[in-house]
Amino acid sequence: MKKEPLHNEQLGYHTPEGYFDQSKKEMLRFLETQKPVRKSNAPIKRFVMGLGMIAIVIIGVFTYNNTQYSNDSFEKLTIESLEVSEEEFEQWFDENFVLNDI
Amino acid sequence: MLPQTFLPFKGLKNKFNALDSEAHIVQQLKNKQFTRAVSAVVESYHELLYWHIRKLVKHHEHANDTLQNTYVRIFKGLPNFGFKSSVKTWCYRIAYNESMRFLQQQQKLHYNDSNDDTNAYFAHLTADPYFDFDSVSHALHESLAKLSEKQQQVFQMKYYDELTFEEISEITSWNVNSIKTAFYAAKEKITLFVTANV
Repeated sequence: MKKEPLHNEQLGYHTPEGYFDQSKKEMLRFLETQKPVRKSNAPIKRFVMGLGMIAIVIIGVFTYNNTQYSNDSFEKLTIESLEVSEEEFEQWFDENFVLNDI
Repeated sequence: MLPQTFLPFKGLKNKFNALDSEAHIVQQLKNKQFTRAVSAVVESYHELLYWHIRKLVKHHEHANDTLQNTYVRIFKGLPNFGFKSSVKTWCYRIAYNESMRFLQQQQKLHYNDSNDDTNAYFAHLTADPYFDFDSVSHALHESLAKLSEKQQQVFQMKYYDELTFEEISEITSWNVNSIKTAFYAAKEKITLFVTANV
């Protein structure tokens, strides 16, 4: 597609004589020295590894919190047990042990 | 390929030639023959890409350098071409981005050179030895200088590069409707200016 006359006449843009043939050859010669670049998978690998690390951290934090919660509830149970009155304890003891023996 | 006898109109023949070269490049890419593909790109689109860049950067030497950078980017990017657009549009997009990068660098170097846009436009044009001011329609260049940057680019891509609105949208990442608006506004301004000054 020759676009040169349109650009010359209407816009006044000129090129050196034989520019297109010459520059085509030069560009092709220049491109022979270049190498195409294939997209590597490295960024995807890094992304997957990052996701894995985040998952490990989240699971770790979640597990730790759960352990804390169970420890807390055990402590709470032990403290509450101190609040049981003597009478209640005796009644419970009678019902479960003394009366069972009879 | 269609026999030449079936192609009586030049425009139609050009379109078939373009489709033919596009199919050839796509075939080379699918065969992973990138060096051949880039050679086919140079063979098919060299002149088109040069004029596209030249209208954006104005100077011949700048256009030549920008074209070389464009080819390097095309060559490096071809193995990762995603077939989401035509190779031609993809090449135009790279050429456009490369030209914009060049212009941004120039703006940084010559910041605040002139406050008058029209004077700056003509000063820039006439500094190029490969610009012939005498043979040019003064009115056309004056009217182009009065357009906004976007209107200038859209008008030149549509009128001189014969790209469709959709192709311009893919190249510039602008909305199709805003491109249409810019083109019709530019066309009207140019027509009015040229009619009044010829």
